[in-house]
Amino acid sequence: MIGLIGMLALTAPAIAGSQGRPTLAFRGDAGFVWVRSDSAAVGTAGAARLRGPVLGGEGRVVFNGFSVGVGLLSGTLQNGDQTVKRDFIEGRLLVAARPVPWLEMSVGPFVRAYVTDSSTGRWVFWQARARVDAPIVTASLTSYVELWRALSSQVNLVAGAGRVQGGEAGVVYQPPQRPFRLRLAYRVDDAALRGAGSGSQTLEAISVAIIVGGW
Amino acid sequence: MTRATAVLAISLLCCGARVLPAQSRELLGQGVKAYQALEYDAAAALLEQSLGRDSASGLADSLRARALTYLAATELFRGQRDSAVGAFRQLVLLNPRYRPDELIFPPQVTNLFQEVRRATRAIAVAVPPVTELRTRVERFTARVLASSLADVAVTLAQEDGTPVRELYKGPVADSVVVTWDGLTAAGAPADNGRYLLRVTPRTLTADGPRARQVLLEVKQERPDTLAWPPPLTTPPLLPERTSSGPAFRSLAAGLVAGAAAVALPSIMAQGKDATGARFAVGAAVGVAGFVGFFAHKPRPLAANVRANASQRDAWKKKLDAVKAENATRLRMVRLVVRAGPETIAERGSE
Repeated sequence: MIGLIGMLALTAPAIAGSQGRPTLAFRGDAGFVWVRSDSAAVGTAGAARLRGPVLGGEGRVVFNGFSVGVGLLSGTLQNGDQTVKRDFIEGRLLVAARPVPWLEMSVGPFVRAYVTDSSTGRWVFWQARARVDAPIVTASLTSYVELWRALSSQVNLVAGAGRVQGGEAGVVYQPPQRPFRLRLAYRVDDAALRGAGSGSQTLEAISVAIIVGGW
Repeated sequence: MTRATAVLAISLLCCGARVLPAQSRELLGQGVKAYQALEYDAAAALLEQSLGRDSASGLADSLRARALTYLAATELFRGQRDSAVGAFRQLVLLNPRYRPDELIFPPQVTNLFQEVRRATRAIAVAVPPVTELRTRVERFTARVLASSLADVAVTLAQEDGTPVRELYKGPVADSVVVTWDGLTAAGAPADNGRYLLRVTPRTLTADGPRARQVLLEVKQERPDTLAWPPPLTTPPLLPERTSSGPAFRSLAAGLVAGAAAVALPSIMAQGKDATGARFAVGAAVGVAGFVGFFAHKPRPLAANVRANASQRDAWKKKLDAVKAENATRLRMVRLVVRAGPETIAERGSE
């Protein structure tokens, strides 16, 4: 929280000094998530493979190359024989800047939780992200690749959190004469537990999204 | 003075010395004075001496004609009619158009001249010493003179006699101006070389005029030609097709992002088994790249094609104009014609 306040303090002058009026942008996501955990990364003994649909969204305030946003994604994951079931929740805050039109850099806290009736496995980490946009068809079709890495991470597991990193790639399509854009994306996160042989958790997601407003 | 003149005349006759041009003019002046003083013997001696025994006496043709006129008048008044006729004949041959001044010479002199002129059929040709002309558009001129009506042919031939061009064929009552545009009979500019401008009587008779000729030295001076307009390049020509760069950039953007989607697990989660979802997204992004490639495929730019066509037309017109101008200049070769002295043509060459 202290980091977020500091980050907002850093970006406040830029917001105040910006000439344009801030605009709002929203994104609605629907996707499917696969989580593969080694050892007890998701609070289960041994390896686990969970999967399930997710829904989410993100809102941003955008102004002159800067944006501040908050996002949420949730769903229910279960294993193949439906004997294990977890509620899945992700939330994040971000402050982003576009130094050049094709590059967005952002930073912010990220929280991911696996919830059961009895326990919650929670990951908290600070992410630094870099996203490169590459237009395919000017103003209507754009591909992008985004990579991130955790600057610091915590997990309420005994082993503790190690390296957390991930990436996303996708394509954004702007239908002609429409006020929204469509996005297809694939992402992967890999969160390692501290200590040799402690295992890791890998999350994959495929999603489609609808975006309204300038992102 | 009279005695001195007589002594001078006798001494000149006796010595037979060769005279120089300046002396010839002096002798002519003294001879005229002697004629005017009615000292015909002295006048005859002085005038004959001024004329000299050969053509190297140095008197210009105009002075020579004057000397011959005074000599003929002197001989007439000395009672030497045959000598007078001979002097007048020389005068007619020298310049068929010459006429004695009727204010200076009495009728018996001028009448004798007219009699001799009618009997002596002579032709001559007069040309400027140097003529510069552009072939086809400018002309070299020669004046053909005749003492009496003559039917002549004016031809141009190479020095060895090879005909080059016939310039005139017809009568000459007094004089006629003949022109030459610098071309051969084939229509080409005359090459460098020596040519003979020859005036020949068309009917050869024993008492007819003798053919005359002038040696012409012709030298070509090639004209400068204009440089061709520089070839059209881009710019000022506009591109006629869109660049292929955007197409390949689009393809690259799609393929790289698609490949990144496929490769992300290998990069970010090494050693972990990934689902096949990444292939679906990677393929979709890759297909998007191909869509972008075909959307940006180079295509003709009709407006630029039209604009370039008008530029090319203008350039071609300019080129054609330069070509035409150069062709005209090359056709109009500049000639420098230097004329030699008029001479009597050999009988064999007539």
